[in-house]
Amino acid sequence: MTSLNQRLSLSLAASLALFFIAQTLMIGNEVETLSEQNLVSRLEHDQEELLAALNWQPPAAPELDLSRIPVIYQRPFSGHYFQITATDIKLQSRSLWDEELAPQSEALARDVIGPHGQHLLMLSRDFTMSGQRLNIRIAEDISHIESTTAAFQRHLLLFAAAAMLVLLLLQGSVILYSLKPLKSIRRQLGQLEKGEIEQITTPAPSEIMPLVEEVNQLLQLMQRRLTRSRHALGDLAHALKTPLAVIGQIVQRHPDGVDQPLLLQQLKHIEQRIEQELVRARTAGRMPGGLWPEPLRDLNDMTNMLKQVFPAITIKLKVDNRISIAADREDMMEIFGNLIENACKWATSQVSCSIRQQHKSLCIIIEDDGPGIDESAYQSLLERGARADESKPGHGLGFSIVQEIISAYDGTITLSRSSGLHGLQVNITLPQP
Amino acid sequence: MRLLLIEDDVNLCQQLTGDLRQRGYAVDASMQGVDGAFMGESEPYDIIILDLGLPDLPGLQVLQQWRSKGIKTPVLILTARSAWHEKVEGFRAGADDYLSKPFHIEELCVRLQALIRRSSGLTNAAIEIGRLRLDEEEQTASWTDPESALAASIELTGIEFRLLRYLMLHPKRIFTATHLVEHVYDYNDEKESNVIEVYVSRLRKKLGKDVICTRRNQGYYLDPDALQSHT
Repeated sequence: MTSLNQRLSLSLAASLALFFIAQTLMIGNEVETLSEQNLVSRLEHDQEELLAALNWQPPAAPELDLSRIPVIYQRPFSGHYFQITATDIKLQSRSLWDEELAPQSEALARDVIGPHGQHLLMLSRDFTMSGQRLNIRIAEDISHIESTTAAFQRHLLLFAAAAMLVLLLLQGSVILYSLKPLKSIRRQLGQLEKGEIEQITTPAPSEIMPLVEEVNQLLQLMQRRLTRSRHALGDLAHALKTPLAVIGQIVQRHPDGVDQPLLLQQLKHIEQRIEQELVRARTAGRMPGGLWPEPLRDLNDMTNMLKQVFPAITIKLKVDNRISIAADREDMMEIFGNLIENACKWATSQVSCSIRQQHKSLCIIIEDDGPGIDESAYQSLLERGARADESKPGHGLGFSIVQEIISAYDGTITLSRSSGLHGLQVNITLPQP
Repeated sequence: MRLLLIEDDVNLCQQLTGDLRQRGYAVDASMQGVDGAFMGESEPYDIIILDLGLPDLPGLQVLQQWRSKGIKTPVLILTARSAWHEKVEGFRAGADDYLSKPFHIEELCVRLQALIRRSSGLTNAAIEIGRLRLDEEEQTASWTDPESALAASIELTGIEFRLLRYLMLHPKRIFTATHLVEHVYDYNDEKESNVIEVYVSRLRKKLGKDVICTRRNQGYYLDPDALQSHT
């Protein structure tokens, strides 16, 4: 679908052009007809004058009372001519000199070629006088009228074109002005996507206000639902895991029981399953308005906390001070927490975490100087619940949880060997709006 | 080691109390946030285990309350949610370590020991002063011999172990008998007035006379110099 701006501009321009063309054509035509009518009525008038000035008593030759004829007919090639013809008589104006007006088939003839190539309009009419038939042709040079009409039409066209241009410009600015709220809403939607704002605040015209309100309401609903479900999940987790912890301890207190290994194994399955489903349900994923408010503060506190728990490990955090991460805070903390803690468990003395902002994506690298893992185990480590080594405590779901969250953001996670620290390196790419 | 456990689930609370007592902690337990918060303020605990999901008063609030009152006891938080943002918020409120439910009691004990050592300023993995080494798992003491790897372990009773651990974690510091009672027995234990004197003399019998010194009218202390050589 093309833009509203384009649609409006095109249709308005087309209607304007249509109107101006029609108007110009009509006025031009009308002016032509009007001036011709004027001319014809004058010629008819002159014709009647001529008839009145004609004195003809056959068989005497007809005489014209020159004083009653306009002087313009006396001046040679003045452009005003007449010719009176009867059976064997021919009277013509002096202006014709020795030319003559050729008979035409129609009573009103246009495009008659006159003396000196003049362009004439000729009126020819038959009369009966004293029982004799006579024909009076009267003609006028219309080239100057034609040229003025043409000039007028040209001016008209020019004016129309200019008016159309001005109106188009005006109309363009009117469209821009009317679409301004839409543009600012679009800008705000972009900001919303980036997580810079949580609601659309720009005042919208009444036509699209319901849409904006609906979007705002949906956003609020989403946020509220997420909070509520996270809260409920937290309660559920508490309600499920506390009894599980009790069961686990009871089972462990009877190491001589034959069923103990099986019980412990089943218990572990339940724990892993619960953990995984809870994390999946808790993940917000990519949604408009999601922004990690203070990533640096959270990451610093997280690494400080891990430094307390793993005093022998130094954790290097390489993050730009102005970094902005458009993602849910809890999701991101889950990713970083799991991966950095895991790195700390395996590292000998060093863990490094770096975040780089790239064009439209976020590149996260977490590496350690531990033993790393074999390349063939990379794939299985990222799959559900698989663990590279059972010797370290924890539920071993770290990687699959992280994988789950990252896929909710359409991101990618790959494992490799760290070139600097020689341990495991986790590479994550998160698309950013 | 006096330990305060605040956990709202009756069963887990009982389980943990039993297990931790067995491992040499003097455990007081509370199933309510308000009571627990008060106990944490009024008794001289060495370490606190705090569940975040308490029904009456959120664990984080209890923790903040303690820290704002200047109580610096190391706190390990238990969380069922195992959400990282919660752990970081717990850390901000002043927690020293975290553990997600469900957990193994061994893991909890490892974390507790590490936390206690850290708060006493010790960096080694085991409690060892001079040639005297304390085995927290077995609750025994032993004299390490530089010439032979074999070390004869000395059996300790529950209270002897608690007392020796407390003194070894704070070498050279002088403690009154009352102070030692408070850190070795829990709130409900029957305490007799001369009990510390009795246990100190038992430890002296097992480890050697000069290991625990008496300073008249002030109390007892562990002399690290006496532990450098042992015959």
